[in-house]
Amino acid sequence: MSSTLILVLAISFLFGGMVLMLTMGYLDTEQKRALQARQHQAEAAQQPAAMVAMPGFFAAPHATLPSTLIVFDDAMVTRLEHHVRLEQALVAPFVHHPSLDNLYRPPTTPVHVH
Amino acid sequence: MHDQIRAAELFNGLSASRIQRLAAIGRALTLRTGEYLFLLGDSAQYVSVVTSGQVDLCCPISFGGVVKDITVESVGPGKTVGWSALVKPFRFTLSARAAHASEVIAFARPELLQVFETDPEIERVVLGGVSELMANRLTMFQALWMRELLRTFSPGGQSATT
Repeated sequence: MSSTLILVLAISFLFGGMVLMLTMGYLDTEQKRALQARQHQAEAAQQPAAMVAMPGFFAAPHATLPSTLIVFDDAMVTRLEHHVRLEQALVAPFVHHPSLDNLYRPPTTPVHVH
Repeated sequence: MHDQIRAAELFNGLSASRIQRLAAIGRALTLRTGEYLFLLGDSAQYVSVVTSGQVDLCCPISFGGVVKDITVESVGPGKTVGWSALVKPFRFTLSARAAHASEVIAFARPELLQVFETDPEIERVVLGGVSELMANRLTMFQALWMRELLRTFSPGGQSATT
């Protein structure tokens, strides 16, 4: 009788422990998921802000300075125009002969900007 | 003006008599350095060919309350500017500014359409030229946009082919 009772208690303890472990594991997973979701939301919120921080006409700006530190002067215009010309030179082969290769192939010779 | 029109890409291959018809409706314009031929958003009434100098096609960019024109394309003698005058909704999509003292020949849309009605060969050549310009512009911006997408979404924010 007592051995049966001990067996029942042992099984109950084992089963209870397993349930407890499973519950804790589930809670831990849920916490990680919630944390990841918050991180994704924060990244998504930062993305548009980064994109509008500077007039990246065709491409993301090289420098990620705060917009308050950037002066839209002639030097900035020159930089933007240089960037546009560079980008156009890079896509010129695709414009003349559209193909997947020409779209993604890195330039084999230094890009000449007029 | 006859020779300048004949040298224009837009009228490539037209006979002397047809060039003469176009010369009759063309208006020579002189632009000083920095002078605008048209502005983005203006009603597009004239298509023009550059005969001397250089005209910059610009896109106004606003930043921090300051608006400045960024040159996205420069066109020289023989090239066309203002093809929006021949395509609905007849609004310029870029501004055109003389980089140096320049000369252009402008063709008003109503007069050009009259010529088209009486001479389909001129219409075929001109609209073929305009289509090519539009296709080039579209292809270029498509490629630029795809590169931009790559940069935006690739890890680290840089495409592999910069």
